[in-house]
Amino acid sequence: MAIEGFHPSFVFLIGAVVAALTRGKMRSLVMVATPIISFAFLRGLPLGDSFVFEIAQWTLTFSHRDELSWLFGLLFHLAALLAVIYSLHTRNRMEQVSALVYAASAIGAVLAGDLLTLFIWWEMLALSSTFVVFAGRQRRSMAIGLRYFAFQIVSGLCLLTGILLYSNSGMSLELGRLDLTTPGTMWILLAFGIKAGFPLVHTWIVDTYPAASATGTVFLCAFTTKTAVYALARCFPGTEELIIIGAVMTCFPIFYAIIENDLRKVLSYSMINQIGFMVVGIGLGTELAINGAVAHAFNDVLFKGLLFMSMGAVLHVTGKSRGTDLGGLWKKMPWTTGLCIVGAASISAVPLFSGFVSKSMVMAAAVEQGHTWLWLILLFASAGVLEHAGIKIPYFAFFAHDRGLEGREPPRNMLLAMLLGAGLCILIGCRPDLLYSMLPYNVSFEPFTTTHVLIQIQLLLFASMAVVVLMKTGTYPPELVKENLDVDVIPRLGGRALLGWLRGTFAQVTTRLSITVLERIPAAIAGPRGPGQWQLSSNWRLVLPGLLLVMALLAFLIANLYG
Amino acid sequence: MNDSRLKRLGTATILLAIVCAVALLLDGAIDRHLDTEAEGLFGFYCLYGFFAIVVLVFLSRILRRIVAREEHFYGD
Repeated sequence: MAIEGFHPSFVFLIGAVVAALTRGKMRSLVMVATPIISFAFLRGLPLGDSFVFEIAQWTLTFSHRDELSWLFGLLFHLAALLAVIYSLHTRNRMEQVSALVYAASAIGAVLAGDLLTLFIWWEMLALSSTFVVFAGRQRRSMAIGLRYFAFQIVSGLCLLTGILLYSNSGMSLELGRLDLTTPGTMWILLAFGIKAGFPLVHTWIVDTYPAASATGTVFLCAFTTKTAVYALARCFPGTEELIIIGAVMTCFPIFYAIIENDLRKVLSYSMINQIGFMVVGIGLGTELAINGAVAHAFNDVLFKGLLFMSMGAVLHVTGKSRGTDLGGLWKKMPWTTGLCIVGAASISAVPLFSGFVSKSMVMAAAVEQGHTWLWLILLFASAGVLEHAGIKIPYFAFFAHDRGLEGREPPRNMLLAMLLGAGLCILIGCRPDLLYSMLPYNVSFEPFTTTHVLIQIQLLLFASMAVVVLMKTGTYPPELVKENLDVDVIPRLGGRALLGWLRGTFAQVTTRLSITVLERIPAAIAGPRGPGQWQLSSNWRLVLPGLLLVMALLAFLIANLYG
Repeated sequence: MNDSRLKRLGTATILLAIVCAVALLLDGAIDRHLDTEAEGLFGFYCLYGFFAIVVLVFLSRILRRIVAREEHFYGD
């Protein structure tokens, strides 16, 4: 069914308002109906530009429909529907409402026809997803949410700076291919890179996703990073720098994933690794590579969503997500175990599961262009994916040591969402033509050649054998309750040191300054016959010199600007 | 109980080893389409898959020594 005349994102926004005003079964109904109704409007969008508004000198194009935006629009509707079904049992109004706004923003961003409209949705994406993190309602949610928000805000500021510089150089803001030599485009690439989890700015992913609620993470893992992948595919196809960035992304997280104990954190590192494959595909820039990157993004939302859902189900039932606390749950949660294994097989690119039909496109594109070293790196990363997501996740959660945990299958809605996700993973794995027919370029690619299937099976089997041998010989690193430092140790410890300094030395100096300048000197001037010595409260003693300094700086700036 | 579990684990490993051997032998039996020189080596993908994991695990052990700290390192 297709309905014309309304923007899908606004359906989600209305859905969010209605969900906020309703409760119980009514809210559940609204939550499920929203993505379905919105999808009808997505189908009704005309090809090319629509919903175009002129505001001052700017033209805002809220809908630009082509193959790429249609595919991501469809994907985000699917993801929203699955995540909504998965979270039907919760009564967390803040999470459910902000999740709908979050989905609206992601859909708005992929439909945007110009950079300014993209920026508007980009910021909404940041804000709404932060509330999904806050809604985790854990002790740490607020601190983690603020750290997450800081990254998203920086990304937004980079995008805005880029857009202003780009626009100032006389370029049209229409969303399309950008050249890195044009002013401002580096900022735009950085903005996309932060949201896509480029190396060094990736830590928000591993910091946030394991900390949100079981249901919140399923929303979070679908939208932000894939919106960035879409933006990269739209604006920077064939940008060679992305090949190196993507290759690094495929490799470094797999080392962390092996030693990480929290299984949701393992999946977060795994997500960076998978986005690496997409970024490589976008960097290669050929029609086959772009198709591969986009198809892999589509599949990743489904299988990574499925894996996060299965770990969320374990967390929901047992309250635990760490490898050291879990194990032996397969008898109590057979359905969840089976569905998790489908996700694990899909991400590991086992033939007949979804990952195989898209990852092999990126690999084939790398070989086709003669990037042998890149192909070897991607092959290495593929073996690594099998190890951490294909074996480690299901093994430590459901098998390994039986910890005697109380367990049962999760609520039916959770199982249904997982079942639908798993069904799609198998469907795409067995009938890749369904996905291929929707890809941006018309390229014929046959994944099920004897060579492709054989080499993939060989790689996976021997990688599995290596894991078994290393485990049996005790060489495989055991699960340990540890905090593994990542590059965010620098800002986090640096921030703490700065805070300590502000509270310590800086506070002493400002307090002394306050006492001298604002209390003793006036008292001395007034003399013994003055109105009596007055004292500031300790807080004012601390803050006043800072305020005076800021005011002096402002005065200096204003004097310079207008003087 | 423990013995039977060990046996079962043993059987699974033996089965995996047999399947691996068959996959390796198929390398010689099937005429593969080659895109790169390296692929021409007998059992290239088997060796690469196996040693990729070995290298990965050893490097991860080194990484753990460098980055692992106590659980509440950040105080939360």
